[in-house]
Amino acid sequence: MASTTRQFRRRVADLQLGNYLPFYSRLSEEQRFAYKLLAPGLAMMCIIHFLPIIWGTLISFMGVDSTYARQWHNAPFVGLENYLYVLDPRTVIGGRFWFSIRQTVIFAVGSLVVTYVLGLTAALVLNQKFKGRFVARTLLLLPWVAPVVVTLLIWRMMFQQQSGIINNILLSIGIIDEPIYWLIGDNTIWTLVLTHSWTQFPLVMIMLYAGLQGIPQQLYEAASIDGASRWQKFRYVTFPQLKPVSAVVVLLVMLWTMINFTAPYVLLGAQPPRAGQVGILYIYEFAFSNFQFGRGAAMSVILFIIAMTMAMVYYKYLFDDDFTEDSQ
Amino acid sequence: MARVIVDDLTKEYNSPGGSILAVDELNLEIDDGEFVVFVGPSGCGKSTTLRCIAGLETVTDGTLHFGDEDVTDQKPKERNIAMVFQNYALYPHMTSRENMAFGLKMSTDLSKDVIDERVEDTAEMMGIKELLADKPKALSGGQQQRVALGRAIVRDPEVFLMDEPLSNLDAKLRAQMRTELQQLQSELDVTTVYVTHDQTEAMTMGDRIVVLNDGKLQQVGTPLECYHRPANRFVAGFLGSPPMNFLEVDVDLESGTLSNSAFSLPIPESAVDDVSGSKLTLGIRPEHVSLVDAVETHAEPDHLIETEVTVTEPMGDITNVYLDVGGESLTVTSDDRLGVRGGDTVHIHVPAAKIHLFDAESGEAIKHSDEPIDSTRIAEASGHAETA
Amino acid sequence: MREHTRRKVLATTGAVSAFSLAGCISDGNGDGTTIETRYMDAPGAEEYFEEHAANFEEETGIHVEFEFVGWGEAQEVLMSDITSQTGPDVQEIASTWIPEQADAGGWMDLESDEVVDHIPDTGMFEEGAMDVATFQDDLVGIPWFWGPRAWQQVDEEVENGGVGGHPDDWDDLVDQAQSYDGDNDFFALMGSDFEPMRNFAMFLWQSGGQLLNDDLSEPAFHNEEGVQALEFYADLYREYDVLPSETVEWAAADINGAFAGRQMASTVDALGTVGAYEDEDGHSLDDLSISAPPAGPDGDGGTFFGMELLGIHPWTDEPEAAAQWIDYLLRAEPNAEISSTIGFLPTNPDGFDTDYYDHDLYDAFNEDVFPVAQTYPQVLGWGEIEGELNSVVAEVIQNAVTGDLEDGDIEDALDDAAEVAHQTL
Repeated sequence: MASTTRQFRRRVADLQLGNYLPFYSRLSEEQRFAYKLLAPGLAMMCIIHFLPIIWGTLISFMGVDSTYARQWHNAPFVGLENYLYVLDPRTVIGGRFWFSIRQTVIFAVGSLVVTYVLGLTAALVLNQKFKGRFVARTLLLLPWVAPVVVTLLIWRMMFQQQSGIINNILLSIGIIDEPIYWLIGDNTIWTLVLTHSWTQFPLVMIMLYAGLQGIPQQLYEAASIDGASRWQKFRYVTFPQLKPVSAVVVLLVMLWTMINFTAPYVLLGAQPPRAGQVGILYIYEFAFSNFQFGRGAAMSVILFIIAMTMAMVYYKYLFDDDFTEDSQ
Repeated sequence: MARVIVDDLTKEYNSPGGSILAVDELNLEIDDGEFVVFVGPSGCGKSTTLRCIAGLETVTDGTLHFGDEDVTDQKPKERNIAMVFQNYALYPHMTSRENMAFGLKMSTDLSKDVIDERVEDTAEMMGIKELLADKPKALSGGQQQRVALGRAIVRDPEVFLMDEPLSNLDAKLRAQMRTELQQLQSELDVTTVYVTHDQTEAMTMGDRIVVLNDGKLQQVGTPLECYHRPANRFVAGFLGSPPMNFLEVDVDLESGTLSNSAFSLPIPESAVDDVSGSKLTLGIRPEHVSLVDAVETHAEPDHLIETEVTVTEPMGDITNVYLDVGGESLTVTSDDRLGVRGGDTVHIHVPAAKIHLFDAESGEAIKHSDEPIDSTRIAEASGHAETA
Repeated sequence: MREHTRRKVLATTGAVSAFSLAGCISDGNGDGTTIETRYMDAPGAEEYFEEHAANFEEETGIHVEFEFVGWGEAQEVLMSDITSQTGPDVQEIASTWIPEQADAGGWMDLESDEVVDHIPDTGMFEEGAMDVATFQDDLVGIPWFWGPRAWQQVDEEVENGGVGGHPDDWDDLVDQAQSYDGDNDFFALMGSDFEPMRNFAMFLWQSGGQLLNDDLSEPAFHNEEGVQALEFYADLYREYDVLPSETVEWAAADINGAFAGRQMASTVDALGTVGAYEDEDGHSLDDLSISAPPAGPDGDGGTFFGMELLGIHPWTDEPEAAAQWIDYLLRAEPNAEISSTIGFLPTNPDGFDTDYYDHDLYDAFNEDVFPVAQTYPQVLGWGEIEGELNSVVAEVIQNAVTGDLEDGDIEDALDDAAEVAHQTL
């Protein structure tokens, strides 16, 4: 009898604790303090990131259009209809959406390659000891600290087919015979890649530069003794040593490019050419000019899943393996 | 395998405050297969010299030859050398196998199979075969050290260069590796230049040691030569632990004594002809001073000095006894039969034969102790001094 | 968006006296009433509203606050207002947004009892204007100002180039352009950067086609006339070399600048372009002449007109005051003033009798161009169709310029758009 009473009491006590943040009660004082400090940030994250994600996912299963724009919660539940509609490549919208996804991948991978090559080159140059490298470092950061809309608008002016300075330069030095259309037609995606990369490479540069600074000088000396040439030192010491920071850079640039709205929106003007309609721009145009929020949300969720999948695959096969092993 | 000839080697660094002379007209010949240890305090130029030999630093002046070949302006990879670094400098992203194979891959045309075979043979010899698949991070300090050595050995270089390779190991492992390295070197018979600031390593490992200070060569010789026939006061004080005792003494040629406020000793016969001037520095190693138990019955009662014990340091087998001699500190290593304690008054005996004398100004040696430096030369060495 | 607070309005108009007057004179109806209003940002609009808000307050005691929104963000701002049912009482409406916004409950029916007695007399407006203003039998807005796109030319340039008169039809246009030997271009149109389908719609109407069928239930732009129209538009670039290729990248500001700088002798555009020309030093309206754009092969005329309206949001607490303000703005003088400022024509016909429209050119706009002017159909889903058409038309003419346009592309593009339109309707 006494033991059952005790058990009961303990159970009640457990229940009370268990009901009221079971996980919290197991934490040490220090951990609790840490969570208290994190709480405001997490709350902001919830409001700014998680709630819209949940809300967006929710309405992607609902028929929210102009009729229900004002009262989305009353919109009918349509199951996977929105998804089937936007994913069917035989329909015009579906075809356009898939095309925009393809352009997104080109945009992301292209920007990644260009920013990485530019960023690494700049970082390697900065890592040399030469007079004025601090000035050079500041100058190289400019594209990144300059207001991005201004930068993009200037690029847009420079890319004009007739009046743009880029065609003028290319023509005058004889690289091209005819002015190129940078802002219309199939070239658009590459114009986008170049411009976006220009605004992003300084970030890559600074991160890789920090990575370069962290490589012990002795490794280069060891490689010198081992008979490595300049290129071999880069290939076998610098590049592998940059792998942890590169892993982060690659992931960030890829994801940030996939969801970058400003560059295509500002650079390509009011009527973006088809080739420049990357996913996020297409979704915006589709959803907001047509009040097609349900379908737009479905497209967004698909883009989100694609980006997340790419990130996870990348993380699993590259990041995980080398990052954890080599980072320390 | 090669002789290494260092001729008037000078290295200057430019710095904002003017140039810094790191190595000053160093001359040295290292024989083929010889194990030479560079020793000296921090900043003495030993590492810089090594790096010049490696080709990691450009030479300001002078020449370097490996055998007959002038390598002064050659790049490291043209010199056929291998180097072991203080922090091992293993490539963190490569396995032990890749680390060891890297030099062969870069500097030879050997096929992958041949390289593999050589790596495995070396690993076998070094006892690290089971570590070949691991990356450096997974290895202990001692294992990393072995891989780093293996990486150097597998190259089969003409010259081994080692820059304080044992200083990151704990004391026990260091002692063990010391022996192993010596054995390895004598088996491989490769010319080796070894840099250390640790005089124990210098004394125990090298065929010859090169003592450097302030970028200048102080002495080159076998460890015992340097220990017993130090060329100057710096070398005498640098080698040996506890270090040699130095006492400033006045010379009285008429009475034939060396004296200060606390004692007076006769000028050793062997040195009488060399002594001039009025001031000298007297050097005596702690192990050569003895604590005298029975003062009355001592053979040379006149030469005993009465002192007071300040501190004792029992080491187990011996005890370091610190004494006050006329205001100067003097160390004696004793077997501690007497059981002296701080504050005790004791008598010490300073045998004239064991005294070193140095010029008080230049520090140059004038007289050495009569300790033999070579078993075959014991007889010859006893009784008179000779400058190394 | 710039917001103009009560304090600023008072300060800038120096209307401390006006305030006290309003307090005394007011008949009680508007005492202490404030309405919030919002308009598209345009040069000169701020001064206009400062002046007229003060006048209106003096007259009625109703205080009007106003703010502006840029065209680029207007649609989003409105959408967010409508979904949350908050925002100003009175808002400028762009005609093409009406169906979706009205469907989403964004606009009050101005013929409802609350306001019908206070709005302007709708009998004064043209029938075409009222068609636009009405959606599903509701009057969602009061036509405010409008403007058709007209053939405009600098007579001196045209004559110097060896061409006489205005082109009557497409062949004429091509002939004149090809025989033109001036240093500049003969003709240019706004390019693909800003609503290129307005140009397509114009050519479509000129070919005798229409955008949707009569009961607005199916697309009609992809039939024979539509293909002919888009082909002609594309051929103006690739076949006849009439439209300079760089214009494909032009937006509104570019065409205005080019015309004002006499880079071309003629264009088809709205009154804004005329205004831009007139603003240039040494230029006068007398240099220009205006007519309906060239007719199509079968003699059909056609051009696009745009219209702006004023509407009241249904969540307003002051419907009566809001309607009074709209009524005030539609009086001949204020109506003419704002229309002229922004580069349109007044919807109040009496506006043409004011000083703002004292030139033959304006009469030509009103009398020659309006009769052939049409605008987009008011049908739910139009926004999507318009977006789709803008996109395919842009693609076609861009490809025409870059040389990537192939046989059958035009039909395919229009069919794609028609499929979207079909699904939407």
